Amino acid sequence: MSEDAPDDLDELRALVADLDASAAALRAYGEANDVPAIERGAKRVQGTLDSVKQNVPGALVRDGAGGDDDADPNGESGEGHEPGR
Amino acid sequence: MSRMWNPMLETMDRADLRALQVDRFREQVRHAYDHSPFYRRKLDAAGIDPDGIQTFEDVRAVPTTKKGELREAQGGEPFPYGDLLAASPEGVTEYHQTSGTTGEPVRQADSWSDWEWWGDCWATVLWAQGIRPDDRVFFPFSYNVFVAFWAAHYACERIGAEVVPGGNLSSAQRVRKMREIDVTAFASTPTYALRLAEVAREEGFEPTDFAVDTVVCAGEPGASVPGTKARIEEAWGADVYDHAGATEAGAWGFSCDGESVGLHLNEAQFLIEVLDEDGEPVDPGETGEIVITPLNRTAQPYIRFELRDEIGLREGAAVCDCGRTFRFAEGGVLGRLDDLTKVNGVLLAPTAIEDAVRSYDGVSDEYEVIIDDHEEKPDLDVVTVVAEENPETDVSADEASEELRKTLKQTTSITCRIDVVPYESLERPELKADRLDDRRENHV
Ligand SMILES: [Zn+2]
Repeated sequence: MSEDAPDDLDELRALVADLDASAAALRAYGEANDVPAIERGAKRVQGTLDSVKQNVPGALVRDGAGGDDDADPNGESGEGHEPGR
Repeated sequence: MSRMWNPMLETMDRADLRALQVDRFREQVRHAYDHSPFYRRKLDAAGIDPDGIQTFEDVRAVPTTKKGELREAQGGEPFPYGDLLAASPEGVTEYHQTSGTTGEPVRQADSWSDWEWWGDCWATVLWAQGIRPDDRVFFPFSYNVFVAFWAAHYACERIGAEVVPGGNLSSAQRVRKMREIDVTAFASTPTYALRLAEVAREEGFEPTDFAVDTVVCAGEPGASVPGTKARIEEAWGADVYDHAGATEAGAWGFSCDGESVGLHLNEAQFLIEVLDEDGEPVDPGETGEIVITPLNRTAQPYIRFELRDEIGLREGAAVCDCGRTFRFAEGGVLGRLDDLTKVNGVLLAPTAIEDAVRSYDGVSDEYEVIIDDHEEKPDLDVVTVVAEENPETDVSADEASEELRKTLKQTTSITCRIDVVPYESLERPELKADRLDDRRENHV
């Protein structure tokens, strides 16, 4: 096993949180500088990270989860997909 | 919102871009040398030290790769990719293959990171063509083992657009689905984009009433053939964009929302050399053949692959008003060298016939080309173009024949026989049309 492997669950959760923070920062950079490749790419990383979090007992899945920031997690806003531009 | 998927790359200073290309090329060659026995043999035989590649002159000393070599290499181990494979078999996550229109199919292995790369290249294409997170994009195909629409599908996901797979449906079911959920864009071969419009009308819809405002074309050169592009635009009341790609290369070219007609070359992801017959680079303004190296592929890399596509190279800020610094293929892919055929000693490009038919309102969209030996003089070839009457005009079959014959003589220097048949006499192809039927016995 690699020496980089975390020793316990706390460390595992911390690593996931670090990745989450990095992805959020990348996404913010993409947004601020109008670079969709970075902003959308980081959003994709966040989505993938969500499923990793779901596999780590005790990791917060919802808080700062990588789905769409604009989305209402409870699905109550009733905002559907608007076709057209 | 940015007009470009990645303005940092797409507007990069050319000197920086060229430096990036040489660096990435060197890394690709290094990777191929270290991991693929096929490339190691080729590079050793040519005396190439990957780390010694520092300039474009060094790049040109690296041997090119031909399609025939790929097929040959894939006959060996590890099955089914042969020693082209530059990854462990467990590292392969995606299988695709070429359609095999010019011989045995080439099998394509991609790793997970290659697959992400495919999506990113296609996102560059689709974003340039106006696809955004609020689009609903329909793919009216069963994608099967062919890579283009799969990659475009995942690129939509990457962009954040809603993607609707439309496989295993009849054409009528597809147009009803498009209407039912208000798709705003669809990706298609030019052939099928025209066919779907026809089916929509048969189903009682007017395609221009659909919410579709963008048609992304792939798989055939039609969207850069002016006559075909105009017909699709008119049929759907939508902007029509072109894309160029190949299983062995990736999505290397795309039209944009600027004023130009042709394809930007994605030079951040591909080293695209445009060469003359002697393998020397052509100058902007000239026509040459593409030799391509994808710069970020790992499982099955391609080093200086002979794509056999011919383009007219352009360069500089005047080429397009979109601001990209990427070089440009004016008028798209001018010809696939594999598609060109000699008729009575003259090279015939099927796209020339396509443009003549589609630019003329006297006939409808569908057509077929038959090349055969002359009935009495076997040394002579005869080209017959079969086109259909256009039910929306009152041009007679005789008039249409005469007009097409004249146009084709002008554009191809070949005197064709024209056979104008009633509307809907010809078969309607789905994915890609094979409109050329070469029946000559002694033609190689
Ligand atoms: Zn442009």
